[in-house]
Amino acid sequence: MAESGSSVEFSGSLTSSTLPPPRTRIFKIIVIGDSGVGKTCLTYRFCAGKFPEKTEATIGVDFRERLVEIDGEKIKIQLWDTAGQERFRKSMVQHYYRNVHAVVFVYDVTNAASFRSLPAWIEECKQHALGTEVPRILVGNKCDLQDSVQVGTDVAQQFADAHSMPLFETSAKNPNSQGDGNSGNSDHVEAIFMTVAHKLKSQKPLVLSQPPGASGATVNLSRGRDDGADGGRSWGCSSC
Amino acid sequence: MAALSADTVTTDPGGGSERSGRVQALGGGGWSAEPWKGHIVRQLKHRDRRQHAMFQDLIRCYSQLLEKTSLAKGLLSCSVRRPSAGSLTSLLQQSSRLKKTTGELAYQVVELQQQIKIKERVLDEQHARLQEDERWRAGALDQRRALQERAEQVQQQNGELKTKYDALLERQRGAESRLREEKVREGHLLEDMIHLKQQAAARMNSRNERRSRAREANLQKQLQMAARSKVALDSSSSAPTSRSASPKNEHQDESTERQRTRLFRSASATSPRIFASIKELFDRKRRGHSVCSLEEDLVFPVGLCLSARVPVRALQVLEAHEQGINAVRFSSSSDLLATGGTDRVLKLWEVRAGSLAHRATLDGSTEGITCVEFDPAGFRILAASYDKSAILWRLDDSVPKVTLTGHSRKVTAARFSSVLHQVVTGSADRTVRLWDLHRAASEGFKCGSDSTKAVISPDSCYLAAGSADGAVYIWNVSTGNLETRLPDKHSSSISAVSWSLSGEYVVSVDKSRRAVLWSDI
Repeated sequence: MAESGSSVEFSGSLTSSTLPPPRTRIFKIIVIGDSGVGKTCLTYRFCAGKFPEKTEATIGVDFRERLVEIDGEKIKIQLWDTAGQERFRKSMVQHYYRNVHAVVFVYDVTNAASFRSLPAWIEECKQHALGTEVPRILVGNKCDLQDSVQVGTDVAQQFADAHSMPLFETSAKNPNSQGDGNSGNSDHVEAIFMTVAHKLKSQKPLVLSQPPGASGATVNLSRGRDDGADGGRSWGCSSC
Repeated sequence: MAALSADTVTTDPGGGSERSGRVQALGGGGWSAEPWKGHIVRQLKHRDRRQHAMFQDLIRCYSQLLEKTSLAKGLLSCSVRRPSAGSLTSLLQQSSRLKKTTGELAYQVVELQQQIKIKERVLDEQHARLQEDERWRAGALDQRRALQERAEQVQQQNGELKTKYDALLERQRGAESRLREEKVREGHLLEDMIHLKQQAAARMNSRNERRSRAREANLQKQLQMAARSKVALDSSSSAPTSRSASPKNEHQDESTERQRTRLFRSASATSPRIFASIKELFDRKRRGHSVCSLEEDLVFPVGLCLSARVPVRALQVLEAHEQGINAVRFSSSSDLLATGGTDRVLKLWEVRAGSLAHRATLDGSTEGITCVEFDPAGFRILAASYDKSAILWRLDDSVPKVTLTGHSRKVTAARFSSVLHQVVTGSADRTVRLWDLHRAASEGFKCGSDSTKAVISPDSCYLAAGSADGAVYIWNVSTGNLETRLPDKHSSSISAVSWSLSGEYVVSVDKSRRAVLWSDI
C-alpha cells in the first residue's frame, strides 16, 4: 500500500498528463453450491439491493457487478453466479475458475444435502489448482426459515474451521433476520461480500492477477503471496 | 253309417283344431315364415268344406223325402177314395216304415246341427286365438323395430365415440411427437445457451485479464517513471523515497529474469498447432515458477512488457535491405530493432515515436543472414548465416567480435542461452550446437529443423506469425482463436516477425526487402 501510494504521488506530477488514470480494479468472485441454495438470490441481493421476485435455474453463469468504494478506492466486485445443476454447468467449470480472486461456497441451512455436498465443491475447487491465497468463505443461506433448520451452526462452524474458512449464516430474503451482534442493523449479505472485498484489497495491493507465466515477477505480488500464505489462517480465524 | 261319420267328425276336428291352435300359438311370430302351419289350416278348411258338402247332400235328400211323403199322402188319399182293401194295408205298412225313416232322419238332422254348432264354436275360438296371436305378433314386431332402432342408435353412438376416440388418439400421437420435438428443441436451445454462456464467460475472463494487464502496464510505467525520477532525488533520499525505490530495483531484476526466460520460449514454430505444447509450457511455468533460476549478477536495462497490444495498422513501410530480409528482432529494451537480409548485412534501427531510424549496418557475413538475436543485456547481437557460421557483434562495433564456425551447412537459428557466455545454434546439417563464447567451442546433437518462425508476444498472450500470403496472423494463446490478420503491406511471403518486449510494436519482414512496423496506436 505504501509503495503504490508513493508511486502514484511520484508519477502524479510527472506523468499524469501522458498516462491514463489507473483503471478500476475488478475482483472476480465465484459463488458455488448446490442448485436451489440461493446463489442467485444472494448475488442479486448484493448487486441489486433486493430479493428477486422469482428466479429460475441459472444456466451456465450469470454475471453481476457492483462498484464499491473501499478506503477511497473504487473497486468493481464481479460476482459469477454459477449454475448449481450439473447439466447446466459441466462445460463451464474451467471458465469459472480462471483467474478467480475469491470463492464463496453456499449451502442451504434448511437442506442438509446441500451441506453434505460441500466437500465435493471444495474438491472441484482444488482440482482447478486454486492456491491457498485465494480467499474462500462459507455461507449458510435461508437462515430466516428458523423452523426448518437442518444444519446447525455448530456443525457448520466445525466444518468451516476444518477448511479454514470463515462461516456466515444469512438470508438473501431477509438479511436482517440474523440476530447476532456483528451484523447489527446493517445488511448482512452486503457485509459478507464487502468483507471479502476488503480481504482481497488488503491481500493484493497492486497486482490484481498473475499474468500467465508471470511467476512472481513483481515485488508486490510476492508480498501478496506471503500475505496470503499466512493470511489464510488468520483470515479463517479472524471472522469466526 | 251317418252317425258313425258324425262321431268321427265330432272327435276328430276337436283334436285337430286344438293342435292347430297350439301350433298357431307357438308359431304366432312366424306366420308366414312357417309353411306347415298354413298347410294345417288349409287341411282343416278342406275338411270343413267336405263335411259341409255331405251335410248339403243330406239336407237335399231330406227335403226330397219330404216332398215324396206329401206325394205319397196324395196318392194315399186317392187310393182311399179308390176302394181297394189289399193295397190299403200295404200302403199303411209303407207309411209306417216311412214315418220311422223320417224319425231317424230328423234325429240325424238334430245331431248334425249340434255338431255344426260345436264346430262353429271351435272355429270362433280359433279365430280369437288367431287374432290374439296377430296382436301379439304386431307387438313383437313393434318391439323388434324399437330394438332395431335402438341398436342402430347405439351403433351410431359407438361410431361417433369411435371417431372421437380416433381423433383423440391422433391428437395424443401429435402431442407426443410435439413433446418429443420440444424436448429435442429444448436440448438444442440449452446447448446453444450454454455455448453462448461459455463464450460470455470466456469473454468476461479475457476482458478481466486485459484490464488487469492494462492496469499493471500502467502501474509499471508509473513505477518506471518514479524510478527514473528517483535518480535525481537519490542524493537527498529521505526515508519514504528509499522505501519506495528499493522494491522497484528488485522488481526490475525480476522482470529482467522473466524476459530472459521468455526470450527462450519464443522459439520458432511452424504452425498454430504448437499452441498445445506452448500452453503446456506456460502451465508448467505457472505452477512451479522457477524453471530456470539465474544468477542475478547483471542488471539489464529493460523495456517492460506487461500488456501486448494487438496491432491494427502499419505505422511505417520501408525498403530496409538491398535484397530479401530473412530475420527481424527487437532488442530487450524495445528501442532497437535488428534486421538481417540475403544482402549479407545486419542493420540496426532505432525505434522512436512510431518510426524506424537506421542506426548502423553490421557486416562480416559472407552469405545471407538467416536469424538475428540481441543478448538480454542489449550489448551484443548474434546472427546466423548461410556461410555455415554464427557471428557475434558488439552493438557499438560494426566488425564481428566472434565468428562461430563448425556447422557443415547453413546455420538457420542462433540464440543466447540462459547461461552467460553460451550460445545455441541450429543448422541445416540437422545439428544443434551449444557454444561457449570464451572458448568458441561447441558440442552438438542431432535434431530436425523448421523454417517458418512464429513469435510469442512478451506477455505470452498472443502468437504472431508471418504468412506466405504476405499477411501477419496473430492468435490468442489462451483461446486459440485468430485475433487479427494484418494484410496488404507485404507483396511477398513474410520471412520473420518480431514483437517488441514493450508489447507495443510488431515488425514483419519479407523476401522482397520490405520491413513493416505495426502498432495499435
